[in-house]
Amino acid sequence: MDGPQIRLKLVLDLLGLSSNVSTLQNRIRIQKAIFLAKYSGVDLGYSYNWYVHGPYSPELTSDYYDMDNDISHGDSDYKNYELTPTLVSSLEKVKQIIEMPSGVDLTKTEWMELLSSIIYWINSTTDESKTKTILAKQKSGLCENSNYDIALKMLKENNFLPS
Amino acid sequence: MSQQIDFEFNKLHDSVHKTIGLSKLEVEIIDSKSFQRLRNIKQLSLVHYVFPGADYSRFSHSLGACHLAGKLFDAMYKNPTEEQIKLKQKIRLAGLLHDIGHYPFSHTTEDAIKQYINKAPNAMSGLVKKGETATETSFSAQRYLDHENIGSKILDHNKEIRYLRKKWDRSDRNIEFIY
Repeated sequence: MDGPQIRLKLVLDLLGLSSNVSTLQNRIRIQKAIFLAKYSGVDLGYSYNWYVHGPYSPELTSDYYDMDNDISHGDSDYKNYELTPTLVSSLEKVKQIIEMPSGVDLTKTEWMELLSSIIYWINSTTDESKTKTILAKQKSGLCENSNYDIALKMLKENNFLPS
Repeated sequence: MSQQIDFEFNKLHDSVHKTIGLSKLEVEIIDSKSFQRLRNIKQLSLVHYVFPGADYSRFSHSLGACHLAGKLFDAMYKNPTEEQIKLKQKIRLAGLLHDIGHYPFSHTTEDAIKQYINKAPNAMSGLVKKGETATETSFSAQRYLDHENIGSKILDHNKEIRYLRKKWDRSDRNIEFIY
């Protein structure tokens, strides 16, 4: 395994996420976790576009399929490494925010999609109200009840948004 | 930009799609050095060395993508408004420009660059061997640039393309967003 695949595997392990990419749910979680990591200060170097389930990086897709392929062929290089303490401490914020708070009626995957989508649009439009309008239209299911407001509040409290 | 866009400003003939109409903006982009470069990049990388008939270029492919993007729009909007006609131009541009960042020899070079960058010493940033002490004080993950990233950089930084974008009064965000 090369550095990017090893790092990806260890980041997912730290965040308690499966590195099995055979299900769409898992792939969405990986995409969103690495996106959230970028905004917590751990930029793994992927660029993102807007796609069906929110921010999406084709390069990350390529890397997690490579990682999955290496692991399924018995490559266990990642077991010889660990993340540096700097990285571990920066990722703590991500670990906390992906845990769903009470009052949110979404699955964990949907919660991560909502958080990532808010960050994406606030950074694209630099406008909170536009972001809410866009997401209410494009992802109405995720924004129902107070889900959106809770997600926005948590992102602000944890410094995921530009000041 | 004019409200009326003539998508038949010029025409050319394609082996797959037959006659393809082009707007003036599209013609000017096609005439740019960055786009003409695509004539020398084969759609199937090096396959034409084994199958001589597989010599379709990224240039022809991009023209076809532009044409099909327009057909897609036409199927969705039967009586488009002026605003929607502008959207048609954007969609066609997305098709036209989607491969502008391809490396020489296409994916073959892209894969080679990916392998090179992924094995470079700083590819291991953020990692420490078990039992060793981390000495790294900051984390920096260097990623290879795939053809989409290169394409985005060409749109942002290439003088000729930037000039055309300004000339046609398109905000950067408009093209970048759809790209």
